[in-house]
Amino acid sequence: MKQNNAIVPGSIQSLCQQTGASIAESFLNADAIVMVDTSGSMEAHDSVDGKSRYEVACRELAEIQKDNPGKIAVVSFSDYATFNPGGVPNQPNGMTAMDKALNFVKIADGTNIKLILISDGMPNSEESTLRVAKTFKSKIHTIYIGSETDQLGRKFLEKLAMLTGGESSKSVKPGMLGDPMKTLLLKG
Amino acid sequence: MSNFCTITACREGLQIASNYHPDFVAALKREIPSSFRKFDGTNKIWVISPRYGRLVTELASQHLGVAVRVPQINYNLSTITKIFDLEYLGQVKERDGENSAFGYENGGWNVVFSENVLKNWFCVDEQYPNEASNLYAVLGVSKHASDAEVKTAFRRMARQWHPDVCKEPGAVEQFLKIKQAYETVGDPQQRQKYDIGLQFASMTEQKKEVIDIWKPPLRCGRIEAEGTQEVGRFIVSKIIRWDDIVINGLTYTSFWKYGDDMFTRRWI
Repeated sequence: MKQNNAIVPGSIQSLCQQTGASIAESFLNADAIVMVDTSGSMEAHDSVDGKSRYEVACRELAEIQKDNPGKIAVVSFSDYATFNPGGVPNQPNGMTAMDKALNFVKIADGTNIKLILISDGMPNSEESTLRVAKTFKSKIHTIYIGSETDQLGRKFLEKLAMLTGGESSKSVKPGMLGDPMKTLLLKG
Repeated sequence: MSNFCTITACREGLQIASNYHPDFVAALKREIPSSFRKFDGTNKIWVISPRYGRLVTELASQHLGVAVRVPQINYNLSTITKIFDLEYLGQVKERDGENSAFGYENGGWNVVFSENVLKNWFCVDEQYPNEASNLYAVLGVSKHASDAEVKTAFRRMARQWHPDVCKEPGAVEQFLKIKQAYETVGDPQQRQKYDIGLQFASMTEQKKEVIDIWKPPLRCGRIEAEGTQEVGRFIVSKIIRWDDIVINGLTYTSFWKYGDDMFTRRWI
């Protein structure tokens, strides 16, 4: 899985470029870590404008970062998890190792950084994912962006959020990721 | 004038007396690392580590056409522990393929620190090569340092680099860096976030930044170190402690102002 090094305005990397600060120093401003599912299924072109779920997620994330500069850290996950300081998730490829995503961000557990997971489906291992999630003190909020008819994926994300006391939302339709994200970011 | 060369034992190693021959001198400098040789300008002799005795006989034969014997000498290369007052730590420079810094102690540049030994002490974490000025490295502490250790380190650094005291080039910028570093690392919540950022940054696949010249953040102190004694110099292999030099309630500090021939000592 190749890390996407593209940079969008408002991302942590763009803040580094503006201020000359390091990534770690720029991270001090981050309010939320957004874990984005970049498994193969995110290539499905089922959004209103014919774009793929991935393209829509990238577009919405770019908007949110532009409106909240330096506040969002983007982590992609499929077979592995990676940090995308430039704010653009990796290209869709591979499976859905959601447990690895949670382990990746475990270091932020117990801090005041919000943890938000965006996915369109089921993880490789439901059991393993829930086992890792149970260890978290922080809430894990989830946003479902898959098909309206996929009950299993949506229900799993609801279960995951409930386990940690987090909130679960779904984008009203593909292309409207921003609203649930903004709601979560604004909440204390 | 015919060439001559004699090698005699001395307290610091082997003394080499010869007529001046540019090729011989160039070969000495090329073949013997600077840490293991020094030139006594007053007596016009070289003092070298006994480990290079045989080499000198070969060079004398090759360049001076002189056969010379190396005297038998018992020298102790075992590691010793020493406490000394480092009055000034010079810049790290490349010497004989390695980066090292000389330290002024007991009236001369009598201590040698390799860059690795210094970086190890000041916790320059190679795990975070993207972080050119890792805030922990600015303060010279480990990422795992306690709050008290961080505070002590900040005070020491601030004393060293305060622009009212230190007139070295870049002192103002360095002092600001130290202040900013402490504002983050000295605050538990900020420090926690910074640590997350460090961890994330270390896992990106970005091009690793190469820092050409690293500068040790401290210039002086009372040091306890392990090392070997050669040609009258203490070659440090490991720093054990680094404290302030405090006498009668005053703390020693030093700096080298640009253009000066020597460093300046201050008691504050």
